[in-house]
Amino acid sequence: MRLLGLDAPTLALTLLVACGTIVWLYLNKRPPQRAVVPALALWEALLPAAERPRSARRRALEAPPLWLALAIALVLIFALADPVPSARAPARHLLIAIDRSASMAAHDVAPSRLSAVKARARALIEALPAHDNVALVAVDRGAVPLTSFTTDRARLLRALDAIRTRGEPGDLLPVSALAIDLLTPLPRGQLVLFSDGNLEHADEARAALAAHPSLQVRHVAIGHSARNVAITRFALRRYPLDPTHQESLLALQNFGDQREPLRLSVRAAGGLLYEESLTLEPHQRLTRTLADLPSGGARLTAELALASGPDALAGDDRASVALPARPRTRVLAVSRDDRYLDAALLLDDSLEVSALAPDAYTSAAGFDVVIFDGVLPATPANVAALYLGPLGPGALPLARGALVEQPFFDRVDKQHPLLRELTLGDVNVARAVTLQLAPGDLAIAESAAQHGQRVPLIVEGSRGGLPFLALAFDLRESDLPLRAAFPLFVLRALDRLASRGGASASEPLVEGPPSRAGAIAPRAELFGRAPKGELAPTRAARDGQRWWPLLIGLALGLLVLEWLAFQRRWSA
Amino acid sequence: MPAPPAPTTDLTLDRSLLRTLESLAIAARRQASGHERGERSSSRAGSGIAFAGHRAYAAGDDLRFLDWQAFARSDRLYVKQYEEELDLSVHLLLDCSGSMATNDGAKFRYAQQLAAALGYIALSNLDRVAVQPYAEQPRARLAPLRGRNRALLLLRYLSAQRADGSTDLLRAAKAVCAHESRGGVALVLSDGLSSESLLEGVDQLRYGRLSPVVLLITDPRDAEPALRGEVTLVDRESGRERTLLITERTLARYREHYHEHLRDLAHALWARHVTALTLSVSTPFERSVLELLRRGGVVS
Repeated sequence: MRLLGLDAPTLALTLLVACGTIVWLYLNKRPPQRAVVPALALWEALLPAAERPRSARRRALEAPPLWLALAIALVLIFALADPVPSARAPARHLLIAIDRSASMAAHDVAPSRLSAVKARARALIEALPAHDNVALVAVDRGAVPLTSFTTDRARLLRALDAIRTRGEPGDLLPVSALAIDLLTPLPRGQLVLFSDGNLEHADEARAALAAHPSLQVRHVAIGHSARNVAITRFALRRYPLDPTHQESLLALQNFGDQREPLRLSVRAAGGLLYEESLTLEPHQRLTRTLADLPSGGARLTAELALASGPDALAGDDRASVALPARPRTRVLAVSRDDRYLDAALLLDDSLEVSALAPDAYTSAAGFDVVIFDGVLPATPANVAALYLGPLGPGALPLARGALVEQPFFDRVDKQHPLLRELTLGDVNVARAVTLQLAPGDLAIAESAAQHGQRVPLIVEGSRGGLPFLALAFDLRESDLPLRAAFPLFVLRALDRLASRGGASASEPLVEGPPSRAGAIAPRAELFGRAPKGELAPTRAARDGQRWWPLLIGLALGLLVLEWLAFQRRWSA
Repeated sequence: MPAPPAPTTDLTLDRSLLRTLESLAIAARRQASGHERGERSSSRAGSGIAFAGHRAYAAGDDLRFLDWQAFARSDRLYVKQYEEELDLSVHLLLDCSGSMATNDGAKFRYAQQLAAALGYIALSNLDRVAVQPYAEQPRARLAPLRGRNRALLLLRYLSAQRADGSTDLLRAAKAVCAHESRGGVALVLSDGLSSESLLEGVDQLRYGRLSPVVLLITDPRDAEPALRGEVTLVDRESGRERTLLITERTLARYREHYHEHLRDLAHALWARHVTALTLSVSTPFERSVLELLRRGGVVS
């Protein structure tokens, strides 16, 4: 016999306290009523002759009600200990896997598939024989063990209650591998998967499990509806050349088997930006690009309204996205009235540009980036710096060599974020200075070799933790300012030097279950095997194994006996 | 611990009852054997007017009682004999034990009242009335009274009695017999709960040439006590205690045992040719009791 409720020390302490209290109460009960009778001998003749007078304490201790009360307390406390008979059959090892992928949020089974699955899993755990070892695993993209193998049903139920849906698709392969690893060495191992069957890599998992025929697997299916239209993607980006506006990409998909007329709407700050009525054929995917949306950090919310009523998974009918406002960058432009540079700097309203004549420059303290256009400072810059045409005298982080006549962009690192999608091959340059790279410096654009060595035209590096970019020729001795690539180059260079990321990145902000839930069509059987035996014992078998109902019944019987004997005076 | 004794009561007999009582007389099974002239015939040949028979003349007999007609017919001398009318000794043995004081002393008051009535009947018939209260010991005896004018004294004496202690009729009977050698009627008024002592006392009275009559005073509350549950019973006489769980079934058994006890006692008395009469305190005294006494042959 084993105790599943109170442990032995607690049981003993509870018994001691309860029995002590009952005995104390009996010893201190109200004394019986006194009555004067004319002849006690007449009463005594009714009693057994052998009965002797006893003390009040002895009478109380020998009183049947006391022993009945003690017996009732004993039985009830024993029932609290939840005794079960020692296992006759070997214990099973059950790995109960709960699918918590996004599709389990579908509410075609009220209140949701996950809630229904949890209720069925709870019923199973409560019905299992007490000696069965059970472990609980949550299934999403991976298999997350929630408990080790245990017979502690309360612990299992607590872990089960804590399971919530995750906004990602489920994968059957990890839990199958876990089941093989855990259950194969154990006797009578069994995997019980509670899922709608909408899991990836089902075929691979089935093949892996088929290699272990001794491992029992069982799929408890849930769900009945496949009807779902989802926003599968909702992204937002700023225009590189016009950060004040942004564009959005919206992808819809009908995962169901029926046509779905619907209305798509996009709102920002309560105002309607876009609305469209359309019809999605079964399994059709559709994308929409929303151009020239005003930028301002407001959240965009896309919503689907199905004409035939809500589908089974409402969470993916709505999605939100927002781009955070760009941080301000303080730029000091040390230049001799370069209108091309000024025009490029005006394109980004997040820049706070201060212009300064070369003679007036002393320090760039208080700025994020300083631009030296055709000039060099007397001392090295104390902030990140962009050097444009460092031909004159002054401090430069790089050593300079001889001037090179008519260099050209022979090699451009197109993968570098600064030069991606820029066309520099036809830029004409009158002359450039040869920049000597120090270890760690990077030439991202070079001219062909002259005099046996290549000529770096754009160099990126860092000195003392301060990044710099250097353009090896003067803008006034080149047609680069006339090119469309120039303002892009300048703005990207400033973003890179100010370490504030790319201008085109979007940061989606998703509400509720993500739109990646997608297909929710339930599958009745994942493993393709006929289950063997009963998952849980029958009610009769279960009741036979747990003694507490019998003990409660026994306590009630004793109470009835006490009532008959001492309230109805049946005994005397 | 014994309960305190019942308080004394003032006994009164109303006028209509007195008139009824005056018409009654204590019935005696044996002929009177008093030593003073009374209204009852006796076996003693004497100066009465009721002819009793003849006997042969002996020297010294009063010649006035010679029956000359018999001498003429038989030529022998016979003396006529007459029954002498003597008084009757009536002894009232009043049970003053504690058991008589239970239930507010209803049985004891009833016994006092009954003793007063019987005493008055006897006094009205010129019988001698003596009262012997008793408990575990005989108490101070009321010496024989005679004549109706002593009724007040009898009432006062009875009123002064108190019920307390245990019961022993045997000792009281011995005391009565010690004072009475001519016989008479002994009226025992008791609740009969100490049957062994009662029977021993009755036997003693019989051996003392007295005709005992036992009047068993009962109270319905003795047979039907209002007790339920766990009760500590205290004996009224001995003070002994006993805690019992009293149920309906217990009560039924007790009731049966109580009545069986009275039946056994009555049978034992009848076996001794002793008149026994059971009187309940719930019976109205003036009408029903006297009727019962008359039917039972206690009074005539």
